[in-house]
Amino acid sequence: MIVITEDVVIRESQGGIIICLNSQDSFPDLKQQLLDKLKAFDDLLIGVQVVLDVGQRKLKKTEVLELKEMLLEQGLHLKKLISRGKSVDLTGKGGQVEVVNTPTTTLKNQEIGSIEETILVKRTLRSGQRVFFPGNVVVLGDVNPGAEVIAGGNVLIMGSMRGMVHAGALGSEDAVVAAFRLNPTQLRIANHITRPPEGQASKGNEPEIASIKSGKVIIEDLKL
Amino acid sequence: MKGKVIVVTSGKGGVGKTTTTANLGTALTMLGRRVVMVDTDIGLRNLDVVMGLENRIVFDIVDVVAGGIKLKQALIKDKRFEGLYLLPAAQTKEKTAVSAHQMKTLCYELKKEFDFVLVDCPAGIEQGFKNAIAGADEAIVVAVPEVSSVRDADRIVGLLEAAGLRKNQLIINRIRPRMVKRGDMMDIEDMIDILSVDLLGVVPEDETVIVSTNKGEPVVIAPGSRAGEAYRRIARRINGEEVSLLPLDHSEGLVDRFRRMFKLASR
Repeated sequence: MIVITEDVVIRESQGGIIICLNSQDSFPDLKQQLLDKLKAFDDLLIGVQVVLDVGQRKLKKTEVLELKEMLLEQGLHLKKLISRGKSVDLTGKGGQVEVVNTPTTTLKNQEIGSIEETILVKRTLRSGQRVFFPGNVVVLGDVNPGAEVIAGGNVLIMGSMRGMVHAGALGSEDAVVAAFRLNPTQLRIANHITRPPEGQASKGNEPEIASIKSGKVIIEDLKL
Repeated sequence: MKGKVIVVTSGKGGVGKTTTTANLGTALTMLGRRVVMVDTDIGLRNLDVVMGLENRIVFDIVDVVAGGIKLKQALIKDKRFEGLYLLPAAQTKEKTAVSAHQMKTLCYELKKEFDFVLVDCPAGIEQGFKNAIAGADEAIVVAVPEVSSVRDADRIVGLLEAAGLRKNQLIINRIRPRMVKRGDMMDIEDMIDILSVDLLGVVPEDETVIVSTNKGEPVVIAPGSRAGEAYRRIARRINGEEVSLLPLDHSEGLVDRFRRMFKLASR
């Protein structure tokens, strides 16, 4: 169990988290409470699958979509929705536990749609600077130690990668990180976190690419 | 023609911002320019001590921006050089006593009167830093060859760029050529590679700086000081001259030593 509060409870579960919304406040208040809670976690939850338990609350379809969108903005995927209320919109039956799968196809489409988008960062990212984008990120410059690049898709650095990079931050294991010089302080792909081996001088004179192969982050020379 | 406001900053403390400000201010005055040094480290003022002007302070920067005191009343004339002035920080107040807008106005007023306005920035990236850079046209970033200092300098350059300051130059301070040669210290290339800003100068580690500072004298006026020579060269560069970097692999031979002793004796 991570956090307990009266209104919003976030619990760990297999491969994700469960967020229980017990608050009886108005929907905008509830949304704000959830957002505040999520913000407190900073980047820790990026890419995590979420099961949302709204308890006795009745949610409209638009409200569910709103929540899903907000979660995605924070880098979380709404996977399931649990509702005990007599919510007409959610096909829930009074007093019974209903597990409603949100239409996964639309979610997938959204994911793919956003990953196709790419932004170009046309400068060097310095310590304390951070780029987050749900699609691909291309940096025309260096990423210095203390800077962060977080992308839902792939990351390409046309310079030295010395900071923290997270590709596939929304859960995509196919994402890759390529850099002209790949010397990150930490490299993350989906939910894999790696760091360069201790005490080993970086090779760092050839372009390299990091990807997940058979469940492990592998770094290879970039050959095109 | 209006003057230039240059902020001397570093992020990290203790890397030599105040020493750099004092010496560049003095060296620029020696080149015939009119210079004012502004200490924005409110609550921890030092520049007056380093310049040996502490006992002349009557009014300070807060009195000027918020207390209705005229600039002319607060500016302290240097005891050695004509055309060099100091606007001291307040010691009994806090950084919030001055706002960024007030600093902007102050810098604007000062550059009407002076060729160079050197702003000594406090350590950190909070209000004091924001105030110090508010009225600046250019920045000098001071860093020592240590990873922590370079990291902070990088953050500072990022913040300067975000604030719209495009001309940011680097002074590498307290470098030890022997350690660099042995590979035990970051060298100039390593630092420039990360920071990717123009190099304004390199100042070697030099004990005479400590001696001078304790006496309340900028090291640029001390004869035979390596650091002093480096600062004089940097000042000439700021003044628009093309000057080569101070050669670092300076191994003092016996002849040099005799020459220096002779020079010292003849003064």
